Amino acid sequence: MGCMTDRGQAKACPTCGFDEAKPPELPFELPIRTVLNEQYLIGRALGAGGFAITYLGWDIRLARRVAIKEYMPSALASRPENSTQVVPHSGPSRDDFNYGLERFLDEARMVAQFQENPGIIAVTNFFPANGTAYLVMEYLEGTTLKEYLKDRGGRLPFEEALEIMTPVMDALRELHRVNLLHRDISPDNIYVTTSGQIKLLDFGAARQALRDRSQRLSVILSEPALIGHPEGRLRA
Amino acid sequence: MTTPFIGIDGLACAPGNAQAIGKRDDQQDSFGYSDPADAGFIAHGGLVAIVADGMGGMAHGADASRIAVRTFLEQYALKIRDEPISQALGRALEAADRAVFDFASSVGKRRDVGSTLIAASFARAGLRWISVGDSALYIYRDSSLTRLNHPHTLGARLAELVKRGEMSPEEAAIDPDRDALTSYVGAGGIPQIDWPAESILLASGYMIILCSDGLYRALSEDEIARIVTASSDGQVAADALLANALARDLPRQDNVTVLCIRVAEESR
Repeated sequence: MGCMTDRGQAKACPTCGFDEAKPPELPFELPIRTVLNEQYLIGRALGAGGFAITYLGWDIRLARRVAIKEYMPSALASRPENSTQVVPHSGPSRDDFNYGLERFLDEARMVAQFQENPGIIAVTNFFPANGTAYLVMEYLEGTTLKEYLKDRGGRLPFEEALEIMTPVMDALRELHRVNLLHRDISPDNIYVTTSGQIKLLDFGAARQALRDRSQRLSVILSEPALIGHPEGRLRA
Repeated sequence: MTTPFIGIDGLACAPGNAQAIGKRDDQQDSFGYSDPADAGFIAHGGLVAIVADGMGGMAHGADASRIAVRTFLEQYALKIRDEPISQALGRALEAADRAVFDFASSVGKRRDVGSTLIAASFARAGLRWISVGDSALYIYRDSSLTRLNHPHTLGARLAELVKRGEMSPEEAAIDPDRDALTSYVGAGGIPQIDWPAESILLASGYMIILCSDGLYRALSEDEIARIVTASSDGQVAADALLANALARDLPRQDNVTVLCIRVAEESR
């Protein structure tokens, strides 16, 4: 469940060391080996962002690895122990949860529009379950551009930077052609696979551009947020 | 009836506040004060006043400003004697940004939900403050009103270009996006923060005003100064400023929030 290779009789996986017996790291994770939609086996959690948990998954039918993103906003909802259900807190949180779920669907539809684009992460399925919803994507081996940069000491030679950013710009051109703005291009959202492909992730901030310019903008962030979140420091 | 005084080591601060929804559907401003009864905390942390103006469709703007104020005050209250006020203000702001960002993300509205924030600490050693966005901090002293913080708007940037001769004042004045914010709390990292290192001397007779843009878009600085001159204490000033702003009857009057803190020598 750590890498989806057969571990035979061993307790811990000989390939990746994952031990299913160990307790989960992240709060509210789906139990390991949960089956979703009669098709996907849930493995270890790859990461969580406070409003979504991403798991390594196994597509039982197609016999391949997938990444599965679950809408799980920890401020608005929780998962009872040993349950697979996501339960919104009572009161205004319930409305906010439902609203966020709708936006999650919008996000899925937006990414799904660009399946042919090699620079954008591929979406293979989206379905409701457990009181929430799941986005199934291709599983990518690699790192974010942020980690990649860190490993390289924070700087890249121009040619390499251009090589990385060109597929991103190609992808953006496709978005802009249908009047969509990504609005969150950052090293966090650009993925560099081990085979050298570049993929744009996370369309959570993407929106239709304002067609009607009689409407005033309320925000123009003229430079990207200078401080990373959450481990950055403020600029005084 | 006079407003209760909060003693800060010989200086007395009389805070007042007033708020109205204007002609909007929701109240998206929030405000707060730190605990005025906690003399022990005030001795090292001062009394904190804070205003936040939220944005984001539906009720999310109100959520954003409320979360910003609550998180800021909670985090600032963790300040210990050894931590400088300036540092505590920065730490509290960072926490507020993270909390609003997390909320925005959880409703799938990253980059569409946020808040301005202006927070000021009143201590005997002086006034210290931190600001993001277009809410305002004024000081009224020696019969004149001065705005202390810089607005983080496109208009402010255009004004810089006009000053440098790179744009005409007419062009800047008609830009349709001149009121757009260039910095706010909740984006997951704050592009511009107004956070001076120096403190501002507080002396008897001064009035400090924190307000959302709903106030200064309705009243000119001259009008604000005139009203403050005629007000005996913070609550009288806040009520009068609000009443005068609403009396303008602007067609799209924004939410108005105004905090006024009058400073006086503590009578012994």
